[in-house]
Amino acid sequence: MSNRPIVLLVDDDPLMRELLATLFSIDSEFRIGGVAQDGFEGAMLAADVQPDVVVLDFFMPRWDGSRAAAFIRERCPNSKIVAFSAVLTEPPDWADTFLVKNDVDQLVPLVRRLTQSPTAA
Amino acid sequence: MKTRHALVLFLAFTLGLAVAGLPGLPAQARMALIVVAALGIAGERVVTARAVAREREGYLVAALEGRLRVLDHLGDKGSLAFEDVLDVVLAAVSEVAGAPAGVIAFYEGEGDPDLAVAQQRELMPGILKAAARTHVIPLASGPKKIGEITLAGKVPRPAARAALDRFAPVIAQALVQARRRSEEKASAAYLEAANLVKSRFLTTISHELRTPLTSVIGYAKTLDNHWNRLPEDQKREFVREVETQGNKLNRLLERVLEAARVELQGVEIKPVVHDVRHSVQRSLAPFMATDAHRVRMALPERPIEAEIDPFVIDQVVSNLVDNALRYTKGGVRVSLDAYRSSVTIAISDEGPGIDPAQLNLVLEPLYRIDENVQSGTGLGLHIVRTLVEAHGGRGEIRSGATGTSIAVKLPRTTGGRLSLKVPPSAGMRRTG
Repeated sequence: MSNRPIVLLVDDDPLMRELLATLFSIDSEFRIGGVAQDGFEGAMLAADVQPDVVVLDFFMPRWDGSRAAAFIRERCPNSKIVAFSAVLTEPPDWADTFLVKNDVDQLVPLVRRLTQSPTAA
Repeated sequence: MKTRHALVLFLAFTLGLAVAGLPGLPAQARMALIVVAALGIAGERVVTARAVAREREGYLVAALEGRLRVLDHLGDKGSLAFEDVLDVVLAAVSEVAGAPAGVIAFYEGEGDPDLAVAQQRELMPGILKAAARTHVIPLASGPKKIGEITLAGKVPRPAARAALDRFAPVIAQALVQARRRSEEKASAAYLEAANLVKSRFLTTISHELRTPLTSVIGYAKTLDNHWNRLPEDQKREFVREVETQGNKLNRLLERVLEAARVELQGVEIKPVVHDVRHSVQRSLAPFMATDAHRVRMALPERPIEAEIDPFVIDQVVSNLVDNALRYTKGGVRVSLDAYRSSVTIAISDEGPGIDPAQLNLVLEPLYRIDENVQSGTGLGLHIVRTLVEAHGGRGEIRSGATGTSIAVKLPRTTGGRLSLKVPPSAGMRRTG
């Protein structure tokens, strides 16, 4: 995970996608490997891009977060998954770590910690 | 009496006749032998005929019994609808009777003269119309008449008639049981679906509200934390976005509350004679403030007078347009067309279309939303569907890669009924 870690953003809300893209573009700290609008697209993109971190929403059309996560775990063994959701209340077992959407300002620091240490946050 | 016994007797009497023909018998003895033999043979024929008839009747009864047992077995497994049960019974009865056509009617309701026919099935309706009714089997459960089987085209043989008359009570019982089973199944399914829809409803509302709210909070926080690092135009854009999302959240809250009210309290439809174009325009006004460049109106030049509830029009237009604006990127077209007895409002977008799997789910009568297939369009469509159906209208969705078009057809008049109260969760239909 040298220099700029690759981040994949998966969320069905276009405004959230734009916000996340903006946040991860600040200071060119990260590289945005891709932005997906549902779990299926996110999973396919992840397999292609092999990101360091996937920011994964839960409630999405087609595949939801947990289904996408199962696929990503298999195809991208080195990717860390952040469950980023408005409806989950506790860390799900399909993600490495979890953040409530209202705490979006803590997302970048969380991802930064994930990419700097070899294990969790 | 067994047939071989009959044969023996027949031979014995025939022998008697033969003996009567022997020479050397006194005349009276000869006479007596002939009379006894003749009577014996005649009697034997009658007894044999009766035995054959009984045997045949027994065979028919067994056949009917077998059919009903199979029916019962299948009914227990829950794999037959009540109409199928009626079909099978009618087919079995007509086969036993040898009649090619018939009608089976099942009644519902109390009171003899006003028996309401709940279900009626016909066998060979073409022949039934032309042929004469030849036999009627009334079906009663205790004192109450629950149905009737009418056969046509051929008079059933006595043995068959006897078998059928004997079997009528058994058939009646089987039908009553089958009907009860199908009603139980229907109400169980209905209750299950009602609960499912209610819990999905709450989940959907929760998601619908949180999504724009997290955007508002997220953008505001980002502006706060990174004010000095973000370029001017981006900051301005973010601020505007906060305002837009706030307004959308407001509209959404209205929609959600409306949906909740419809679900929990039911809704009263109040049709009013008015120019429908005005209702459509009023509904589109809020969208013109933010999305005027995306919304196109295609309204007729002349006024369209119809007896329609303006609130329903407002809900239809605002829900469908909101969905289209949120989930597609291009333009949204709203059109209004008038026909002789109906009015059609159509909202079309340029895609991407609704996933066919989603589409089927949304159109399902019992509206099962799979845990994994969640979409915000569901809530709006649910409201629209409930209101449109309550108003006596119909909706049609067409969706493909190039876009989605939803057309709502409402009757121009409700036939004088001034207010139609819709019970809660009326958007669902009973199955079975």
